[in-house]
Amino acid sequence: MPKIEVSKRDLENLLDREFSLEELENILVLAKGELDGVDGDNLKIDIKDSNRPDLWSCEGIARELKLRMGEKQKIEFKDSDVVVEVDENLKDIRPYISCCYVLGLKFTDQMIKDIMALQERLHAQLGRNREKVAIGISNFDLVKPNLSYRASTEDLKFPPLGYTEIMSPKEILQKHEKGQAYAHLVSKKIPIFVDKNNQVISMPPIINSNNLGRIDESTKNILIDVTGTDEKLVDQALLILALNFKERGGKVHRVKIKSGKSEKFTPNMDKITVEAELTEIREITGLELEDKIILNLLERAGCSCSIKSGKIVAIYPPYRKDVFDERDLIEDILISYGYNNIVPLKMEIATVGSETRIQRLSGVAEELMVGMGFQQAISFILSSEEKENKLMNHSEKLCKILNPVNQNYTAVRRSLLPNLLEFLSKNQHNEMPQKVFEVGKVIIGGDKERIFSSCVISNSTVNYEELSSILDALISNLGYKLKLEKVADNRFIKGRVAKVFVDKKLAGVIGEITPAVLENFGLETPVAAFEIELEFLIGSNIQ
Amino acid sequence: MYSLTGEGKKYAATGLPERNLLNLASKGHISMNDAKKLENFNIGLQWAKKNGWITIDKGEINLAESGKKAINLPSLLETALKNIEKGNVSDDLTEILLKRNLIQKVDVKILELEKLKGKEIVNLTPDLLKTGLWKDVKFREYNVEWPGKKSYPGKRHPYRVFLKNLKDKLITLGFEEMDSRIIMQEFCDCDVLFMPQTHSARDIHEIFYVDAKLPPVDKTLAGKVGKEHEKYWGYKWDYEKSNRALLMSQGTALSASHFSNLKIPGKYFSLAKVFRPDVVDATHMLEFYQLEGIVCDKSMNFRHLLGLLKQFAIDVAGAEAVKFYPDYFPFTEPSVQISAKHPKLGWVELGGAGIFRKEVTRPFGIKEPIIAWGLGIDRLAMFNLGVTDIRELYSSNLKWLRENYYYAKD
Repeated sequence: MPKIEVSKRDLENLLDREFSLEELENILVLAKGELDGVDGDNLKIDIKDSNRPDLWSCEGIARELKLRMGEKQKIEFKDSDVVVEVDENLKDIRPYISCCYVLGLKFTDQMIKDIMALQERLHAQLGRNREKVAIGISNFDLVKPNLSYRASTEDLKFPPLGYTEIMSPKEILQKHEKGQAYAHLVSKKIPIFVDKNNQVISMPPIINSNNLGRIDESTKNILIDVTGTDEKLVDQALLILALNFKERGGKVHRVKIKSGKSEKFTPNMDKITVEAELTEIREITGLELEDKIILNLLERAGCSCSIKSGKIVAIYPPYRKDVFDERDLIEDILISYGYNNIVPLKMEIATVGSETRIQRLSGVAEELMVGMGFQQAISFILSSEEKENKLMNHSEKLCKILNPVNQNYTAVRRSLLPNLLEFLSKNQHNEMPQKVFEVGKVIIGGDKERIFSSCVISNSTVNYEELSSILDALISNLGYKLKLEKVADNRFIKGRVAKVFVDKKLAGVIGEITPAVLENFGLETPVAAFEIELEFLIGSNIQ
Repeated sequence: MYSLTGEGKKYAATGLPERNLLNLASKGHISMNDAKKLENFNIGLQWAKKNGWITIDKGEINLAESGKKAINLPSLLETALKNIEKGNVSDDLTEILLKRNLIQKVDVKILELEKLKGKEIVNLTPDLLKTGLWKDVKFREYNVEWPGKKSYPGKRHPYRVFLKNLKDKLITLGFEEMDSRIIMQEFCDCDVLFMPQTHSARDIHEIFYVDAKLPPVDKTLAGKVGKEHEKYWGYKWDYEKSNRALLMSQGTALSASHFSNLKIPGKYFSLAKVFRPDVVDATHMLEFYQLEGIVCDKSMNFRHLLGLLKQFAIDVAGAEAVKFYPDYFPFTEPSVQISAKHPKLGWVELGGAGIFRKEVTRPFGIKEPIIAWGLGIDRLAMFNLGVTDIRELYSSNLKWLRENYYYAKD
């Protein structure tokens, strides 16, 4: 969810109205915004919709709020005769460019900061770190049309932004920090954006020129280029920027993009049309809305609408690329209506509630363990190879995380015993005996999910028989027959460990923990333990 | 050791029945009828005959030869009866005395008990009750005002109690629990939920991938889901990518997994662990519970959704008031977020909900609207358990677990 920062004063200027914080909180929901923090004039706003980049700025929020509060909006840009020629050589590298210029701007320090913040947000989230979308803004007064977007040649040297020294594109990839960071996006051919005189404007998606591609408070007219690998996103990003500069009083001029035989003007003003049956709108909203009202609510989302034979036809404004079908239209109606103006209805569907069988029956196992005086433990499902295998003197296939972020959590637990032993080791100063159990999910064999019931007793006099009688009580009270069979298992003392069979099927293990494992967990009191699968309770296959 | 029984004691004082019969017979010509007046005549007769002391002739008892000798000489048995409590009696005679129930085996402990007579003792024992000696002892008075050494009952874990209570509430409201899973294919976790494989929408949460081998995704269903993606998101959907195994990152995935065997009308919930990469600290963990569910019925609309959320806020979370906000989830449209005013915590973001997009339900052939909801329960759990660090929900502090009275809390 995008988090943005705006100046309250700036937002109020754009809205031409002042707001108390409470009022602001209430109207921000119309732009899916939530006030997350206030620091003087600075507002931190969470925009809930990760699919609405048009809202990720002060201008965008203001645009949406004005609409939703009933203001009309008109978006029209002039076509200019500036042309960008696209080199087909870039087809397999970075084929798309959209471009426009904006005249008559008055930059302030705040505006420049906001533009840079939006640019970064679009790069990161919409552009997937500049791969799909990268934006360059330059001083249009220094640019000589027409323009050309093409693969670079070695003789085109220029000073990258922030440098006075001229470098070749290859040198920039090697030496400049941005060049190093994004070199992987352009490895084979390096795109370059130049004007009529072969002056470099920018080297997408890496850096602007320090000569042309620099704006400050004295800049009045700008050129925006957006390049990338996804034509729709490239167009969308340019449109959002153009709209924002229009909001700031700039005059946007469309530029013609010529690529081979195809030509188009950008910003691209294509609009999405959505149709919906009026009956469906009423059914899904649950509101008895008159046709007229529905039209009005949709106009407040920026749509131009008409009604044709029981259907509403809504043409969305060109920056709304998030709408697919009736349901999107319905949400826009509801947002304009106001969620908190809707009276909730009580649901009247008679159904019978229930727990899953395995949950209910493992609840019985828990109850029996509690009845035998055991304290329940709850631990994390995520564990580590170290804990599951190394500390347990064991080696068994684990379900491993391929992208771990914390060395303590690198795999899914395959047993509950390591956590129970860890539990005991944290409580050695507490009164003995300590009887602890856990019922929970594990993954065995790397991919099979099971519910285990495991328990430990720690006491100076604890022994195998003390616990085997508990296990017998558990199994027989669940209605099954226990059989134990001698086995060798490194986790337990030799001769004091057995395989557990429930109704003749292998279900687990019981024994006295071997001193080597006790040492690994820093335990100074003997421990007896058992661990069984509970799947037998629902008749599933056992290990 | 042996002691005399009541009968033994009596005979020791008044003589054995056969001795008394012998004494009577020594007077000569005693009729049976007269002799029968003797106490325990039958026993006396039996043993006097066995000893060869008397003969019986025509209803008269006469002294035999050995009887005459025995008159002034105590029999072996009489001597044994006299000496038995001091020991040194032969095994044969002891056996006879035991058989005749004149003596009993004595527990050394009971002799010790005898020493307690008149004294003050601590414990009332079964022996004291059996021997009746309790009447002759005094019981020491306790300090009854001290509750004694601590006892620790077996208990459920407080977090489990909290979760179970939540589940019970949902069940009471008529919701059926769905099976939960830890690992699944990316298909179930993301693709079915209309989260495009390449779009930033997938960024709203991140994923732990695992090396598990899971069965391949059903190709027919995958085809239908992929088609929706390609149509609306405009990219080439990748079947292989959707087969990657991961740890479930959102509970809604369970609801979607349930689409194939949905009852309509139906109300379902799951309380399951989800996993997301994050920094572990007092407010974040890599795994946490999500309470999620769906309601499917032809009549469902957005007002019902708000009604259900309001009911959850009041009945499940104990809220006093609710507010609704527009929200965004790739799989629902319209979407809503609910904030609840908790009496102690103030306004809390309680959860998100919406009506599943048609793009989500269409591949499963479902035409009815399905409401999907999810509630965040960690803050409620922390409040309920009285902890300030989210990791303490999993407390392994035995002292705290033993002494906390969480069972009795609402």
